[in-house]
Amino acid sequence: MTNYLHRLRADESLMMAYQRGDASAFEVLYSRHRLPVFAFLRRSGAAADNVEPLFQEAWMAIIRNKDSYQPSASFKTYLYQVAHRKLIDYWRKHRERDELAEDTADTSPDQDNGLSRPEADLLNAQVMRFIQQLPDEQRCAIVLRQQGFSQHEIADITNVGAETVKSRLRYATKSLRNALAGAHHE
Amino acid sequence: MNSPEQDEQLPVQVRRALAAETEAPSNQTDQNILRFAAARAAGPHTPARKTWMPAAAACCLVGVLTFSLLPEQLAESEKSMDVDIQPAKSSKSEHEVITQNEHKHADTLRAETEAVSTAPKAYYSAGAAPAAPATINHLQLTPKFFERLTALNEQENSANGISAGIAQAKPDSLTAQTSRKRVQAGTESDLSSLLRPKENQNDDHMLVYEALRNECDCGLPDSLQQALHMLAKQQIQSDNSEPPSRDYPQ
Repeated sequence: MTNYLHRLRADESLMMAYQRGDASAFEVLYSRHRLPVFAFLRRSGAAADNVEPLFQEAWMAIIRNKDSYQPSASFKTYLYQVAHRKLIDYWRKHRERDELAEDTADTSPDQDNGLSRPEADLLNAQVMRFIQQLPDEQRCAIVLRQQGFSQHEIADITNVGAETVKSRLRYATKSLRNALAGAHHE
Repeated sequence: MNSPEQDEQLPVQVRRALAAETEAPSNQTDQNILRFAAARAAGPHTPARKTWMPAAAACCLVGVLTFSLLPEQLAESEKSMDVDIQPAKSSKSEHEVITQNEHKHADTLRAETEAVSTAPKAYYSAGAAPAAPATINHLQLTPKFFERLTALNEQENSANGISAGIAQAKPDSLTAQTSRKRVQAGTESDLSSLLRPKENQNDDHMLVYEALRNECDCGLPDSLQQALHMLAKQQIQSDNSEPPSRDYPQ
């Protein structure tokens, strides 16, 4: 019953309830954002084995610093800011984007032990490989844009100006178009 | 050429590829996060931090104030100790002043005593007067008395040669026993009659009589008493025979 009522509340109200000690409010928040945040981390270049640790660290940081959250800010933006910082730390430490690209290449249909896949899956895998080859911030902007964030929200999450986000999106889109056009011609 | 808006729009293939990602965290990760969130929600960490932070801030403030004020208080206490020590020094100096004053007073008394003791010697050393004994100092006889006494002796005994005898007489030459017998030989009535001033006596005689009357019972040496006694007796005899010469100013 409590969780049902919590589902009608906004993220900011739930976070305030969790600040007052209501653990069920956090459960609702977590259920709302667990998949998008996990997908953001996974698509932004983290290796499959490192996504879950990054995901857990991001939520742990939200829990530890729950008292510092101000309801004037969007909880979703706040949550992705924390996840983006974890991702930046990960980029600086590991630089596993190339390894991930190799892993993606390994799962290409040509090396799939002769198992046939649907054409859509093949195309998605190829597009994901192109995405992983983008620069980190362009890839992050593309992923956030795909998840529905506006350019201003992306600017707040990545802590850059809106024009910078716009430029990153333009360059990323152009690169993907060129990559897809080249693949199509092949 | 595509417009900027078209450039910002993701290709359909990209959107489909991104939307096709359906990976989710494991159940273990979900449990870890939710368990940690529940522990933090009901745990003692947050309220405890809220309660001990003001106390810690107050302790820090007290510590800062204490360490900032402590040197000043120590300096003040040192000053107060100096102030407390100062009276001891002043008392000591006061004691020294008192001691010095006592020494000075003693020196003054000694100097005055020596001055008085040397005064008769000076007067007697001029001529026929005998050396005054040390015990004469406390009589406080004036120099005028000794001058006139010496002049009187010279005048009165020039013919009889008594003054020379008096001048040569020394206290040591006459024993105390002898002088005591001589004093006892005459009764007090005789002495008082001898020392009683008469109407026709001059000022010198009056001085001698007054001095003898006042000082003979105050430890005047026997030799001097005897000399004065004889002088007075001769003076009385001379007064009975002929009037004294009026050489002294009236």
